[in-house]
Amino acid sequence: MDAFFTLSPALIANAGLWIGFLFSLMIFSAILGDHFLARLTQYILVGAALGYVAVLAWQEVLRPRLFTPLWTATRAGDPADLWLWALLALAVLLFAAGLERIFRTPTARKGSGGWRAIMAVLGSIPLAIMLAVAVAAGVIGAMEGTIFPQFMRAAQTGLPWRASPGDLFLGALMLFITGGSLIYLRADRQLIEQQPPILRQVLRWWAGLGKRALWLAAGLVFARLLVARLTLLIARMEFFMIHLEQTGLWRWAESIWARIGGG
Amino acid sequence: MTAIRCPHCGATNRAGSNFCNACGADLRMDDAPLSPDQLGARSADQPAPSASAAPSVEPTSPEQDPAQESGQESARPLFDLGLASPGAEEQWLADQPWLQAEGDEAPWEEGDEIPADEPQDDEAFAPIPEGRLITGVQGLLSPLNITSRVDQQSLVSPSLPPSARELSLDEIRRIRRLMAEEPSPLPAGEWRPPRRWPTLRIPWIFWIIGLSAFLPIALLLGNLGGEPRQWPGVQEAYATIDALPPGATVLVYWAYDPATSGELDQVAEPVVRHLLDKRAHLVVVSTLPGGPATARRLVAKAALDSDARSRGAGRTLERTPSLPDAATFFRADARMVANVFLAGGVAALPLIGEDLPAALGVDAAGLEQPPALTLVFAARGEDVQYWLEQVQPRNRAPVIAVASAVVDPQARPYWDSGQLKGLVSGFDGAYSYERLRTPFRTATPQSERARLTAQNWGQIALLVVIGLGNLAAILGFRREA
Repeated sequence: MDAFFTLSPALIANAGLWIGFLFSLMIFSAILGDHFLARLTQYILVGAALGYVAVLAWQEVLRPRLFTPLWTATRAGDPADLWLWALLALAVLLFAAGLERIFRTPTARKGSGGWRAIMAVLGSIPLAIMLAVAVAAGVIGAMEGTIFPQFMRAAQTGLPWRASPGDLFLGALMLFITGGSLIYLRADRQLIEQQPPILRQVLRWWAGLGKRALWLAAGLVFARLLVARLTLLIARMEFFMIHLEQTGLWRWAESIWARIGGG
Repeated sequence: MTAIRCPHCGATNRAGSNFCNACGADLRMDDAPLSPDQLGARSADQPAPSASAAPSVEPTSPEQDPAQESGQESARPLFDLGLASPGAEEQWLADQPWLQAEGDEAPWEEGDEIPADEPQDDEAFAPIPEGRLITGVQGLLSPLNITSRVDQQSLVSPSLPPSARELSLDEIRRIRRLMAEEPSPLPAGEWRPPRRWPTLRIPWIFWIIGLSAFLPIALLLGNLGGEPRQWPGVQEAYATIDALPPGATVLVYWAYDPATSGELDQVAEPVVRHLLDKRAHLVVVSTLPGGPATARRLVAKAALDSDARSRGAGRTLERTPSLPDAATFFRADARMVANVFLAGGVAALPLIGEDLPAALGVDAAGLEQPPALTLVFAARGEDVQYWLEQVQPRNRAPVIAVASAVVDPQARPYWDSGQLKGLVSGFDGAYSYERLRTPFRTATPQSERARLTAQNWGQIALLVVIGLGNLAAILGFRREA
């Protein structure tokens, strides 16, 4: 008992580490099948994450960047920040539209009823603004940051006539597979069937190659995801193996084990 | 309340149905309707003996049929609508949900399956006259013309010998049901491989891969891959950071949170240590709610190492203490000019490029504009792409991507085009960067070695599982063929 109470401050200090370890084990135990502990851990994690987001949205965004400036501007009569009322109105509209969805009865149909239809229309206003801003920023950004620079890069590269035979072969292979993939994805099947027999066979074979290349690419994408998850698993195991060893509870367990084993 | 019972399969259908909802048989009557007495004598499990007989229409709830309840024959015809009485037409229309105009309340949502064999609501059933007002309103099933109008006799081929057995009603029903049903995949768990196939359960795969990653760490197995290759971009990233003047402002886009910190912490830590060694002023911004807390924890850990390095003439900590204490967090906060959660996601990123202090809500005094360097710590390739599309064209600050291994193929074109000044990805990228930062350290830290070893063994196990799975499938298909 003395040893436990002596080490308890360290145990308390490392409580987060141990809770994380236990939760990781509980979630990982889902590999044995679906059971209560695995689900409980997932519920706790989702609930805690959502609660954290709600608190963060209030502390970092709503209070310092919306409500405090509004309160200050209203009290001082400063019209500079009064445009924030428009933002608040949009936020309230979106929130109210969300409430309509949350409390909708199962038998009610979308948009039916007077106030439901009004809420649906009003709620679509802030959604439309957000969507339009995001789309506009996305399109302009894609032009500036990806399409033009990548096109310029490709245009400046030119044909690699002086490249090594290996690089030339790889470049030709890449071009060949790209062409096959494009034929498979974009070419009209009827148009291919109308071609002369030899050309038709070539196009069919080329499109078949492109189809298999696309399947291979899909497999590679999946493999990348799998390897990324494997990396996360390794990092988690390494974290616990190294850091748990330094905690008070681990040392306490070692001392207990030493007493039992006489080591 | 009445319903029509299919003479072929026995399923209960709405009165007025043209076709059976279960087997698709035609329910339109050729003969005169049966009287309630005839219907009452027919049990639910014994449909009409002949397929050509009329569909049976029977009361499904005797309690609601006073005539039957009293044992008297109803004076009203079976299919009488009773529309002569005042208000009866509106009542009849209200009882026919499929005849109501759109916009009225329906008892089911769009896309729901309408139960066919279950007892229906009272409102859904009403007597329909033999001469229909509207036909084809059911429209749920296409007519099954092949077997819906044939009787038992016609199913016996005339070429068969006289001794050929006639099909029973049950067999006819089974055939019609099979022909009426849509092919559908088996529910999970019902499919069983043939006996000759090797049985491989999915959890085994995870166990094999997990043990392959765990055992090399526990048993201190050697690294099969040897020293990792230093990919292009790592050297340039190191050189760019190393050339920073002391006290330079470095903007860090922290695009990962605890969900992916297992890998990204290991990749980002050497870079953050290097920045702290250079006494850089970090301005951290994240569009993820968990980003600022993750940044604070990692910077605190790196600050410990950086302090140890400054005290110990180039020696770094071989092992990071379990968790940074409050004093370490305080030192970490002192290293960061700002650590801000930016709401709004990608749409808010252009604000950083336009006016950094306003976007972050921090004091512009002492904040270098534009920052000397930008680091993107990304768990997804899209985060690197978004930064290069939304921010970099506006502030023109050089960008270094520090990313997970899965991001590398997506970020590599930006490195090739010169939009990225450096690219550090994956465990091997972090290992190469750390070797550049501490070139005189002879021994590889145990944690880095264990990380690489486990990753290589895990990937080998993954390849073995994929190969064995394909081999088993090929052999199984050949045997089946």
